Amino acid sequence: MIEFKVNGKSYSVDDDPDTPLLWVLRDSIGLKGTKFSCGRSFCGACSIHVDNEVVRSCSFPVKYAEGKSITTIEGIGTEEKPHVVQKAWIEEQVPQCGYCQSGFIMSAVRLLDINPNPTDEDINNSITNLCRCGTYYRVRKAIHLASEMKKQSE
Amino acid sequence: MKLLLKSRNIIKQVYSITPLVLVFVAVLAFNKVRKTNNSESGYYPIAVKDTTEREKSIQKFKEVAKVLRHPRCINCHPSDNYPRQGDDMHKHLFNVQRGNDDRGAIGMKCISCHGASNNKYSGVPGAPEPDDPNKSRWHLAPLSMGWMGLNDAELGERLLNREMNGNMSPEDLVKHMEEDPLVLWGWNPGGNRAPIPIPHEEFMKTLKEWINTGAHVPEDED
Amino acid sequence: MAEIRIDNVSRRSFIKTMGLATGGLLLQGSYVFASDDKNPQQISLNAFIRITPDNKVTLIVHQAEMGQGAQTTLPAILADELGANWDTVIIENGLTDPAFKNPKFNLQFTGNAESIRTFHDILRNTAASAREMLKQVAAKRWQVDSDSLRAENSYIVNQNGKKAPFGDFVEEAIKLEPPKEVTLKKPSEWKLTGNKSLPRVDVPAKVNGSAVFGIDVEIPKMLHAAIAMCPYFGGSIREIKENGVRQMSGFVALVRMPVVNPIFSNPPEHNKREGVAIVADTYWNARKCLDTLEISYDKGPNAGMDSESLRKIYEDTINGSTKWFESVKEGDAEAKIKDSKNTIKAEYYSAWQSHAPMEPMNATAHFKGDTIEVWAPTQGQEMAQIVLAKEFGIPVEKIIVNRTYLGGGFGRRLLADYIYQAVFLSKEVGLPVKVLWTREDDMQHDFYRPGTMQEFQASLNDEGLPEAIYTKLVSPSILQVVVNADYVFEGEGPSYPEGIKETPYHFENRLLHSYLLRIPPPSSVWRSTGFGTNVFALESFMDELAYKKGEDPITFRKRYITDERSRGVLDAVAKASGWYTERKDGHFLGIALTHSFETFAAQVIEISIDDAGILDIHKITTAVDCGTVLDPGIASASIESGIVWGLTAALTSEINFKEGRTVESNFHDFKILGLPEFDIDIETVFVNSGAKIGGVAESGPIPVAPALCNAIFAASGKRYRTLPLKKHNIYTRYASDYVVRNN
Repeated sequence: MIEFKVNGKSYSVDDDPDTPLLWVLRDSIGLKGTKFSCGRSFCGACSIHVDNEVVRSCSFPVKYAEGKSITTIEGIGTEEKPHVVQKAWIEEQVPQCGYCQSGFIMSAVRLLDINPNPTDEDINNSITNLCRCGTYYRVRKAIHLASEMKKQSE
Repeated sequence: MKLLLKSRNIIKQVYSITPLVLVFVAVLAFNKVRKTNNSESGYYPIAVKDTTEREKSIQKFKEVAKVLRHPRCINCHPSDNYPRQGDDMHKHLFNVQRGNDDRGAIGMKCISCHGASNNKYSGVPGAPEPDDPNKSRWHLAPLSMGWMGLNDAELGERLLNREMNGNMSPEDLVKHMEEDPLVLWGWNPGGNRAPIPIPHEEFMKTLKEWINTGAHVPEDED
Repeated sequence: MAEIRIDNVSRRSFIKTMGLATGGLLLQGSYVFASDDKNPQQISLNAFIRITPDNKVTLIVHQAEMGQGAQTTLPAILADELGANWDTVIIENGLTDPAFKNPKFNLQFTGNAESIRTFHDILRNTAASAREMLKQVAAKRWQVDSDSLRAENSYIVNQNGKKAPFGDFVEEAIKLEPPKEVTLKKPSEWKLTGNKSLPRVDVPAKVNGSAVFGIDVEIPKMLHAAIAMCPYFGGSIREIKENGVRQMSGFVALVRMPVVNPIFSNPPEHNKREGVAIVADTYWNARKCLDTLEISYDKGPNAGMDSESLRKIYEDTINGSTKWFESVKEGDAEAKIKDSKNTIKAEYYSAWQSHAPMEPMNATAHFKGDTIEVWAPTQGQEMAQIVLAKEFGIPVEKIIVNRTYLGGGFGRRLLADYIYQAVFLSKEVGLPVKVLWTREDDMQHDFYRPGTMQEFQASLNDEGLPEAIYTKLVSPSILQVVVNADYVFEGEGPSYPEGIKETPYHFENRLLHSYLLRIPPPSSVWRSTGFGTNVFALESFMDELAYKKGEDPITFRKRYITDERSRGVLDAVAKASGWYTERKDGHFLGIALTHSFETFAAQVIEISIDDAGILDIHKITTAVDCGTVLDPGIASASIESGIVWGLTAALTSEINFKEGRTVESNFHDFKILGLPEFDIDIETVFVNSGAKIGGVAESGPIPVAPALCNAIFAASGKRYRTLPLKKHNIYTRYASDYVVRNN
C-alpha cells in the first residue's frame, strides 16, 4: 500500500509501485482533470504539485508519492471559488480546446506562489508546457493579470 | 610559458643525464603552477616530486578529461544556463533553464521531470540522493563548475580551484567521482544513452593516480 | 452563464460522481454516463431547440467543440434569433441528425471552417421558425396579431408588456406547421452576436479540470485497451511473442486486428495496417501487458521509402514528362514563357506535417449486438457512423455517436480509425472498451498533411511585370480518406489546388498544371487544408516578382487583385502594421494576402534576424475580412491560434520517413513552438465588409509562412523556398537546436 494525500484527502492505493502517478490519479482516484498527452515529460499536460513542487505526473512513479501531499487542478479552485489564476484564465479567455490547460495552470500557480511579480523572461523560463491550439499569448497575459489581481487582493 | 613548454619536450632527454637539471626544471614547473593557480585561487599542488611524475600526471589528467568531456558529464556541467541533452549535447528541449539554485526555474525544476531513478516508461533519466533512494538528486553543477568549451588548463583549474569547484579538496573530488549517484549514473545511464566508455573502476584509478602524481594540468597552449 | 451538458438527445445525462470512497482505498471513476429519466419532458421544436413546459430552453450544438468556440457562438446565434435568455439556456452536444448535415457535403462533420459560414443562416432560420411558432400560439391565445408580439429572454411579450414563458406555448407550438418563410432579425437587433465578445461557455470547466474529453469518459463495466499497430506502410506483423502476458495482472484479452485503420473509401494508395490490442481492467495494466509483447514486423513493399526518395518523386514529377491535369488555362502562358527572354522560375516545397493534437486519439465504445454506442472526441460523427455501419454491418440508425470535448482536432479527428478500434474490441470482449493511443501511436499513425511541391514560372515584359504565369503543383490527395464514397479521385482532387487555382489575383495568361501523387504515407486534411502549402508558394512568388520589378510588395499586389476586399485588407494591414512608416533599425516586414474559406486576410510579420539565423519575431498584424465577425473575442483567439500553428509548421515541425515508416514519434523530434516564442505583439483588425460570412479558424495559419519568409528576404536577401525553416538553420533563440555546442 502506498499512502499519500491528494487535495487534502488521504488515500492509500495498491497500484504497482512503478505506475505513473498520472494513472493513479486519473483511474484509481478518479481525478480526470490531469491529462495524458506525451507520456514522456515533454508537454506538461499532466503537471501536478507534489509537496508544492510542480511534477509531471506521467513520469513520476506512484512509489515516490509515499507520504507526500499532492495537489491537482481539482484542488486549486472550483467553479464557485476559483483560484486567482483560474480567474485570470477566465478573464483572458485563455483555453481553446482546453486539454493542456490544467498543466499550464498548475505551473502558473507555482510560479506566482514563489514569484508574485514575474517578468516575461521569468514566465518564459517557468512555463515550458506545450499547447497545440497556441494559447501561449493569452497564457502570458493571464499570468500578468493574475499577478495584478493577487496584489490587489492583498 | 613557451619556455616551459619547450623545456618539457626535452625533459625526457635530460632525465637520464643529469638530475641537477631535472631538479631545476621541476622548480621551474612548480613556480609555473603556482603562478597560474595562484594563492588567490586557494590551490597549491599537493607535491611535485619530479618531472616524470608531472608528465605522468598530465597523461592521467588527459584520460580523466576525456571522461569529463563525455556527454554524460558535460550535459550537467554546462558553462551557461542551459542543461544539455543527448549524446550530441544539444540544448535541453523546451527552454529548460539552470535557475537560481542550479535546480531549474521556478515551477520547472529538474525534479519536475527527473526522478530518483530512470523512468522505464517515460524514458526520463533520474538518480537518487545518496541518503534517500526516493528523493531525486537531479541538478546541474554550479556555473563555476561548468566544463563546456574549456581547454585542458581551464578544465584543470575548474577541478582544483576550491573557489570554483564547490570547495572540494582533491579528496572530496575523488569522493564525488566515486560515490555521487549522479556521477555514477553516467556509467549506467540506461535508454539509448551512451555510457561513459571507460569502466568506472579504471576511471577512479586514473583519477587517483592523477591526484597522487601532483594533479598536474597541461598549460594553456596544450 | 448557460448550463452545459455533454449528453445528447437520447436523454442520457451526464452525472458526475465523486468521493465514493470505499474503505479509503479506491474511488470509482469520476464521470459516468447513465440514463436519467428525471428530467422534465423536453419538447423538440426542431433538431436544434427543445423547450420544457417549465421553460427550460435547450439548444443543441451540432458541431464539435475543439477550441474554436462552436459551443458558444452556434447556440448564441440560435438564442439571439429565438429570443432566448442566454443566462438560462442549457447547451447540449448533439448526436447525428439529418438537420445537422452540412448541405454542401451532405454530411455532418466539423471542419473546413464551416461551422459559422455554412450554418449561420440555417441556425437563424431554424430559430426564427421556432420563435414564430411560439408567437403564433400566443397570438391565438391572447387574441392578438402575431406580428405585434416579440420574443425576449425566453418569454413572448405583447405590446402592453404582458408576457408569458415560451414553455406555456411549446406543447401547442409543436402541432403547428413550421412557417414557410420567416423574417430574420436585422444585424442591428442581434444582442449576442455581431461584434460582441461572449465569454466562452466551455472556459470555466476547462480551467478547473471538469471538462470531459474523450479520454475522461467512464462507462459502467468499461475495460481499457492499448494497441500496437504495424508502423510500416504496407507492412505486416510477422510474429508476436506473448511472454506470459496472459498471466499478467488485469489481463483480459489479446486481440489481433487485421485492420486498424479503415476509412470511408479505399483508394489504391491506402495501406491498411494490422494491429494487436490488449484489453485489460485498467489502462495502465493494458499498457504494461502490451509492452510485454515482443512484436516483429515485416516491413513490406515500401521498406525502401524515405524522405529523400519521396522528395525525388516530387522533383521527377515536376521535371519529367508528367501527364498533367490542366486545372487552369487562361490565355497562353506556356507559349509566352517559351518565347520570352526574361523569365523567372522558383520551386517551393512544404514538408509533411502531423496534426498532433494534445489529446491522443481515443474512443469508448459498446458493441451491443444489434446496436453500437460510441463516446468519442470526434469531428466526424456521421463519418464514424458510416465507417462502423460498413465494417460491422449495422445500419447507421442503430449507431449512436456521442461527442465529447475534443482535445484538439485540426482535421485528424474527422477520421474514425480509433473509433472503429474501440468498437471492434468491445465486440471481441462483449463489454464497453476504451482504447487510448500513446503519443507515439498518434504521431506514427497519423493521416498526414502531405508534402507539397509547387513550381512557378513567369515571363516578364519590358517593364519587368509578369505577363504569363505557369504553375506546376504536385501533391497527394488530402480529401480521399474523408469523402463518403468509394470514389477515387482522378486528375485533380477537389481540395489540394486550393489557394493556387482560385487566387486573389488576375493574370491574363495563366496555366496551372496539377498532378495527384499516389505514394504510401496516408494523407488527409490538416488545419489550413490545401491553402497552407499553396499560398506559401503563391505569396512567396508574388514577393519574388515584386522584388524583381523593384516595387513595394503591396503596391505590386494591388496591380493584380480583382476584389475590393483584397484591397481592404491590404490597406488595413498596411496601416496597422506601420508598413509605410519608420520602424526600428534592423526590423523588417513581410506580407502575404490570402482568400480562403470565403475570408480575405492580409498579414504583416515584423522580424529581425542575425547572421547566425537567429530569428526574432516582433509583431504580427493581421487584417481579416470575414464579412461580419460574430464574436471578435473568439475570432481573435482563432487568429492567434492560427499564428502559432502556422509559425510552428514554418519554422520547426516536420514529419520524415525512413525504411517505410514515420521517423518522428513525440514532441522531442516533432518540434512545436513553445510559450517563450510568443512574446510577440499580435494585432488583429477585423474589416467588416458586410459580405457573406467566411470562416476564420482555418484562415489564421495560411498567410504566416509566406509573410515570414518574405520578411526574412527583406531582412537578409535570402529567399527560402523549402519549409520548415530549420532546414536552413533558421531558429528562434529558444530553439534547442541552434545553440553552438561549443564543447
